Amino acid sequence: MDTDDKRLLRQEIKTVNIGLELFGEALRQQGLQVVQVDWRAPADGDPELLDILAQLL
Amino acid sequence: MNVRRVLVKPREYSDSVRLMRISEKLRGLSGVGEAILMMATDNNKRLLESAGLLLAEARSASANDLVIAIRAEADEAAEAAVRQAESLLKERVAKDTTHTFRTFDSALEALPEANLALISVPGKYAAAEARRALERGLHVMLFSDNVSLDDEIALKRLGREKGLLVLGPDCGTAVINGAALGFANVVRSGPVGILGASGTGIQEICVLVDRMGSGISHAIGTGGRDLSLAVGASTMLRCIDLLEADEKTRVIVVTSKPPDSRVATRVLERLACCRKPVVVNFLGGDPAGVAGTPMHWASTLEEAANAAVRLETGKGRGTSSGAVDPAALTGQAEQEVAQMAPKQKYLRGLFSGGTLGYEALLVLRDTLGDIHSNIPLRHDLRLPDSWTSVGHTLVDLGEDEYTQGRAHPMIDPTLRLHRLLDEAALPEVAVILLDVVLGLGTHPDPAHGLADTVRRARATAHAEGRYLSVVTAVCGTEQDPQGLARQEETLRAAGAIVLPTNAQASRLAGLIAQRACAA
Amino acid sequence: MSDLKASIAAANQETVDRILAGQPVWVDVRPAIEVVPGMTRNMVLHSSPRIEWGRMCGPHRNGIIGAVLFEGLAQTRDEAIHLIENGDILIDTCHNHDSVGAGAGITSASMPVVVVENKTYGNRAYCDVFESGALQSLKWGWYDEKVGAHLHWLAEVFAPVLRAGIECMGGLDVKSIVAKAVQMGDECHNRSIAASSLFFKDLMPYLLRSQVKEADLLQAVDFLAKADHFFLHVTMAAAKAVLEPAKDIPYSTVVTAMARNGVDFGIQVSGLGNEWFTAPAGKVDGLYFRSEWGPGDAALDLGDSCITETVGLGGLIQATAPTVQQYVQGTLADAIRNTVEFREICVSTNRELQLPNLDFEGTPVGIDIRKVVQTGILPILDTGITSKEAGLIGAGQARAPKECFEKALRAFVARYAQA
Repeated sequence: MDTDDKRLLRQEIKTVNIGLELFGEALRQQGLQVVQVDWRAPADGDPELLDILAQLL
Repeated sequence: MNVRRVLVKPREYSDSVRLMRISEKLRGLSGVGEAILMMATDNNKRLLESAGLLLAEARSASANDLVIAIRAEADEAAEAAVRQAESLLKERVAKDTTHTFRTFDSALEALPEANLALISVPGKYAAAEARRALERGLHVMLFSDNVSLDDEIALKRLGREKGLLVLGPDCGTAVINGAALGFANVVRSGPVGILGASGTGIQEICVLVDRMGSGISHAIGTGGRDLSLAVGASTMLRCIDLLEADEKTRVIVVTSKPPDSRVATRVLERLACCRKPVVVNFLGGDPAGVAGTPMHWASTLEEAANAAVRLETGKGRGTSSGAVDPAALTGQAEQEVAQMAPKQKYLRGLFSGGTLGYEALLVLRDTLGDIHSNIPLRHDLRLPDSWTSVGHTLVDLGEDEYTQGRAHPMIDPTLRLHRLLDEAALPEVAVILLDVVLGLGTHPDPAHGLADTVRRARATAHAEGRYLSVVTAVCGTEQDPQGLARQEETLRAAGAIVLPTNAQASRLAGLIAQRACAA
Repeated sequence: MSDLKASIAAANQETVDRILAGQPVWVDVRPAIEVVPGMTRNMVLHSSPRIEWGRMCGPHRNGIIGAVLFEGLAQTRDEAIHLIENGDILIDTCHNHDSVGAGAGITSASMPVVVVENKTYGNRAYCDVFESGALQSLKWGWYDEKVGAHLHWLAEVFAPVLRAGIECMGGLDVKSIVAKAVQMGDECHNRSIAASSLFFKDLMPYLLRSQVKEADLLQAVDFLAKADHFFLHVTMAAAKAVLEPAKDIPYSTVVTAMARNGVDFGIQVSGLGNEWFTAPAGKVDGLYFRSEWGPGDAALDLGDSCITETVGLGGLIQATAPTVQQYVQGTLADAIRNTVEFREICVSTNRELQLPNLDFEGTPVGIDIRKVVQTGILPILDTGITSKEAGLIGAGQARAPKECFEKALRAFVARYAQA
């Protein structure tokens, strides 16, 4: 069976980069498609809200 | 504030907000009491009147005319304000925006065919991001470390359920189908497949394979803890299946620090029935692990690369290209020590790559015995204080105690350069051993800053009647943005001895310190 | 994805579908007593959320006193205050009566309101007719003889003329005006000049053919021609009208109202019914009309007018009206970036309202409280700056406080998530 992970090794890598921008830059330099998430701590890191968000979002 | 100046600009229109903004700026000028810029509508004239600025010119202006009204301390201030007003009215604003997304979902909307999420956020939040990515059907490469063991187990279980790969946490390097992810080198495509729980371990093998004229099909990092008992090699085992099935891969190399023995057994059993030739590189592990199987053992990263290329090409090759003959190494060590002061004895290893540092410790053990470290081979050799060396010392500057609030040393060399100078100033230090890692995602020119610091360090030692040896190896290729040859040259020009591999550099540094101790 | 997440996604989609399906038509102009549900002779409405007399800010307090005087319920300020403190004046919020009010939102029995009907669902909403462009008006809590006289003129002369014109027109499709205006540099909250001009253009032929006295007509036209912000009040009523059918959808995390009263800021969420989630109102950041005015003179954020932001206009679409960024020394790039950011916290876009500066992408619609809390992106409200006592003293922008969204999120999980 052709599973998702087997297919990954044959596919062009298209990335959602969450975090260090320089990794996204490196992918762009290689001519690969990448979108950059400008990541910040969700809910300012409040643990109660993080917990709630994990249930709802 | 007695001076009033009113200037009417007939039929000159400007947006009211723009005019307000200019008024605000003018009020900030010295000597200016009031500044009002407005179109001369009835309502606005009323405002000017209440401010005592509805002079005749303004009174007779029409709604299409622009009025500049100033009250100031003196003529010059008023004039200056009017001139400034006119200049600001002429200004134009133009700027660009680059686009990033604030949420994963909107990023995914922009690239719906995305197949991988590369996550390098603080560990506390990384698991939640990884979970979201898996739920949306993406494979995950978790560069982040400090992810809890429970989270890792849960994520890998979710990944298995959905047929999605979870690389990491603490996975710094991957090359998948030619795409270099995280810290990775630009290497030729070819038949050697690498699986590793060790970032710079994978990098060293990749660049050496490339240097020998062969290439990489895929180099997959499983994360530092994948081979622990609790995680049970979840990703490693899955990736062995993948590489076995992958058409491009003809040899499989597995590199790691020695896993938990039960996990090692499971992995070795799986590898033993692999249809393709396998090289096992458990750094510091027991070669007996592959006894009685067709698998090949490599004790160093260099040996792993050699073995892989040999198996793949069928050509015999004892050492990688540019290797230095052992006798020559000894001779070189003696030459270095001959220039040293009697008090100089110790080796100080300052590493940016964890696995390279670990391999160095193993190699150095042969010549130097016990080495203190923050990643020691034995508990009792742990440095009480990571910032202070004791005897022979080697530190991995990528470890947590150094990276709080900083970027990884492969991106930001500052801490290492400071440490280098500190060590160089100590009279008992004989040799400094360094790794230099090139590639995408890393510092654009590591040799440059390092060379300057090496020069300064050696000059300091020289001024105090000592001779400081600096030994290094550059882990990189010519295709890397930094360019291997140029980086090596820059370091040599500063007086560093540059060897082709980490194992050889460690060997030479060990010989130097050994001779220095004996002297 | 869990069942709960799937339910929320479906509910949010339905909420936005309802908002977008709304067809707001301006159908009438009448005294509040004749059309506003629950309005009585001794009632004064103000901008939300509800607040006790003793806690009210100056513009609200002075505005209510002014309304009592205007209605002739008292002859002096002291009398008016006496009636109010005795409970003889019923004070409530506009929102509780299917209405919205700009600034202090002061609406009393004799004041004319615009009537907007959402033709798709049949519900109606109301907003006070634009009072005046003067800094000293009841909208901003200022009442004196001049204001009183003008209010009488509005009710007795202007409103009947306006009504005649609207009747002659057969009603005005509000969305079509807004759609054009957002392509002409209006965000339809702090800038409505294009909308007001388009309305004026559409209205005139009908006004001239309606059966009204020429003297009244001339006065009305003179007033309208200078009323740059006239259409804001129509937009507000239309926004209220399209949001009403989107309320009370179980599992929906979409914001259905935002409002502030100079003391508290409040939001309502579709899946949480009529409850207001409040937090202290914030300061408005911006510019002042005169050099002697500054932040020390300013009341906190106030007005129901952020019902416009709630449907994806105003501060949510600064990209289409970059001039508003100048209040805070911003640039076109800032304006565009802000709008693009708001797309991240909204469910979808409104394809009927296209923004040229974003390549004709639709306005962001459906503020999702989960996304607000996750990203920390707080809606920007483009708004006026009111004096602590009364009167308009500047303009700028404010952000909705995050505490409102956090409170709502906690209430949501308490209601909908199994413990």
